Amino acid sequence: MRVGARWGPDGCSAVLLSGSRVLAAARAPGRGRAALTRVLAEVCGAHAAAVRHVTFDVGPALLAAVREPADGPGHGSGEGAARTVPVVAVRIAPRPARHPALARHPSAPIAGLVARSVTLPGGHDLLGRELAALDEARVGELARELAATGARAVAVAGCGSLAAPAHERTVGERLLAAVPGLRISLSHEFGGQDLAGREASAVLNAALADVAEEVLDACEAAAGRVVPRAQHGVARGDGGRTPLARARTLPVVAVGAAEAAALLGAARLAGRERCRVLLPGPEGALLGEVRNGVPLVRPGRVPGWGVRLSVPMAILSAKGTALDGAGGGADSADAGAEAGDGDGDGGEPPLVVVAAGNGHPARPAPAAGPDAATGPVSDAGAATGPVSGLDPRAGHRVAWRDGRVSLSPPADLALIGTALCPPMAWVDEVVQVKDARELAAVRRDAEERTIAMVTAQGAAPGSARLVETTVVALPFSPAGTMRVHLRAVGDAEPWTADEAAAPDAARDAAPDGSGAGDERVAGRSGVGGQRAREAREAGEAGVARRAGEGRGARAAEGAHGGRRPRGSR
Amino acid sequence: MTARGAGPVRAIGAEDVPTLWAGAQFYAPAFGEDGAEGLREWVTALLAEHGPVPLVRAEALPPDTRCAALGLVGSGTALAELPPVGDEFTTALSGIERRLGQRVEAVFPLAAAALNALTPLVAACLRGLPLIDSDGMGRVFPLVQYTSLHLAGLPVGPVCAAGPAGESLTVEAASADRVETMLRAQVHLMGGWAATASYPCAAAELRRAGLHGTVSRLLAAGRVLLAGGPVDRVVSQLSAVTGCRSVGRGRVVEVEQLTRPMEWAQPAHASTVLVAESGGAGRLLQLELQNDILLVLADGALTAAVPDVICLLDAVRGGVVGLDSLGGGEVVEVLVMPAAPVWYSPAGLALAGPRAFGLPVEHPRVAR
Repeated sequence: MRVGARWGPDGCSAVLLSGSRVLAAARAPGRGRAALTRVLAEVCGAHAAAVRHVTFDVGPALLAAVREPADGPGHGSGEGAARTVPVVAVRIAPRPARHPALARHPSAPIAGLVARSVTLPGGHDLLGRELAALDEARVGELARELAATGARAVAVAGCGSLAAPAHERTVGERLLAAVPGLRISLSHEFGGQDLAGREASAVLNAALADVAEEVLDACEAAAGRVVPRAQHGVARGDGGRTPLARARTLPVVAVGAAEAAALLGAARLAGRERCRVLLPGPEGALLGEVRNGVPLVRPGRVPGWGVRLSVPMAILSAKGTALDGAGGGADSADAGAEAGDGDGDGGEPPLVVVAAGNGHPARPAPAAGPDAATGPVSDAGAATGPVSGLDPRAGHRVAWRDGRVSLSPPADLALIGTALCPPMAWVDEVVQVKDARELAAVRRDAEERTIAMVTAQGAAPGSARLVETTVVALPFSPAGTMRVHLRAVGDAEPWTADEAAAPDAARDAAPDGSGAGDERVAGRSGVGGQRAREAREAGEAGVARRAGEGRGARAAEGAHGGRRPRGSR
Repeated sequence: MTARGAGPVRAIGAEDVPTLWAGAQFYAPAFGEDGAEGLREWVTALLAEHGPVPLVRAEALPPDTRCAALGLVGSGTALAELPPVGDEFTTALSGIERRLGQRVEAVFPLAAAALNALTPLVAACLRGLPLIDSDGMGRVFPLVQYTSLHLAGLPVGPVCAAGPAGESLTVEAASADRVETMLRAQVHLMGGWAATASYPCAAAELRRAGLHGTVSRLLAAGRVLLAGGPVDRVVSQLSAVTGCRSVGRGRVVEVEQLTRPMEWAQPAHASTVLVAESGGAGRLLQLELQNDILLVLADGALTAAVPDVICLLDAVRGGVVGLDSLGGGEVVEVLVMPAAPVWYSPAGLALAGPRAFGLPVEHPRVAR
């Protein structure tokens, strides 16, 4: 059995699943480990010993902290008091910007998290060729300055660091040596072939260090008390799941998880590996898509916040042909009409129309802003209870008509998806090849690495499979320059006996009778033996180094060197 | 009056940048968002700081006004990885002025599409120059000599290029082809992109050889795209504004690389995209790519070819689909727009028709 749980700005909530069947749901006002413990105990009840995985959606809690002012109503002592840490943003580039708009981050919310910006001479081009040598003397000066000023968090973003992370790593190591305990985020750890997106991810990651520690401590303590034998994970913005320990150093990956999880939950309840999903939202319907059983994601803007990060998140559109971030307001009628337009076309996937209700929004409201902050956390008097109207059968038997189905989730759809998030990994790199044979070799190598990485993320041996493979030429780049993007998922564990005995009823309710899994690509792969061991060993070594270096130290991590620009997670 | 008002566009202000960019993407579908966000923010900040840039017609300028094309040569992905420092475009402009011994008095885009629709605004802001509502491509071609200016006999050079690492160079050669070859090789070494100043000419020459109204039309297309709505409605409105037509709608079922012999002198390489048409005749649309979409075959029949502007619209989520992130499963509307008439002349087709890209077919207009 699995549990999906959330520490949101307006309370804690959880669901218990067997397969994709909802057995129980609960929520409680308040934040903190006591509230979390109560909702976990409530949903698990007598099943606690059978729970194998608890996955937390902490994205709303993290975003709420970012959006609340430092002296906001939540500021104070006790749980929920942690706030963002002012970040020193270090950019490594051949030259410093000469216009303020180019010196600061283009996103105002990210720029607002930065207390100071510094450019160090250095950096590489897209393919990893050094454009300027790293100015070691300037690095030393900065280290001394940071030690003197008591800086606590640093984000380092170097031009070309996906291809050549050496400059970022050197800066990180030097700063950490000078300021023990300094929290350092290096941009190449977040992937993405654009400096601004990686810089935003690194800044946000560094700023969230305190908040993430507080939230994840509470999650771990609550889960440890209620379901001590379960594995603890955190839902990611790309629809995957990462071990809780890893989320401590990379909390930014949890941002936007609810939206991806809602898409995943809708697809699973509808019994489709491939579908479009129309989610209700506070400002109108939003259209997303699921392919090969996982949400369609891209590096993009954080839902409800608008900041563009390099880490992938669900693609949600308010209405047809509205350009991202530039169009008018959301228009559910447009979105629905547009989505429905394609239903008659055989080539387009079926549409799952999610109804809100049941006391659980299918899509959570955007992270609370200052007006929605609830003040210092206190669980005193918090009422916890089962969700009224929970129908274990709801959401499973669905009637398809003309390629669409209405889905009334039996509980909070994003929480259902959170519980179902699979281990996931991806590789995103730019390569240069001479011919098709070399491209095939590059692709095979990337596939093996992706499979190995997802196994290292906790996928059961033999369960890892590729769900996305994209190879595109980079326009106006030298011939043979391509971007290779791969994504793989696995099963967190073999199905338990009770889950195997209760297969998703939805699978045989699919309009064409196809079962989930029919559309999986590339099949289950046995690849990953030696590769997975290597990746796991590298990951474990990384954890050991971080433990020795202090909280958040990332300078020595990164098993993927070489000349190719690559991002991986 | 900036672009928001009715009637002719006389200036471009900070508030026009989103509209300009939306139209600029439509006329150069190869580009996604790579590199655009930072450049957009910078251009917006410059326009807010310096005020709107006057948009003038070439014929409205004194005939001897010295003009130059401002552009960005290289890839948007390289720009995204290595953002501008801020002096690249003025350095390129100053370089060509030093070489010519004359001040440039007005600028125009090398190509009024994609990132190149924004870059001349940088120099115009920083130097207080007007922007001319003309360009040499009317779309984006991969090589700097693929312009109506070159067709009319204007020299492409000297070309001055300035890169983000502080490096600059001037390229002069006996032929436009050699200018392009040397420039491209250097840009690759300068970090993957460079600001360029090229095609120095008098306003009278630009009036004779340029393509006109190509900046203001971006705003017209951008307004339609930003208004949004169901795809069919958007396509209809775009058709009224741009003359585009839909070839078909379907799902991308295959993206294959290195699929045919090609001209290696050109950037990027050949690839093929297959779109299974949904509804209608259920045809298989074959798109041949190299930087842009060069050819559309419907069940093997040639339907459109370069210099047509061939664009993919996201039929589910809306917006232009960039070729740099195109993956299997996307549902797209394939749109074809006619290029400027000069590109369908024998000389135009010889310079930038299908055979110039190694495709052994005649353009459908010729074949008919």
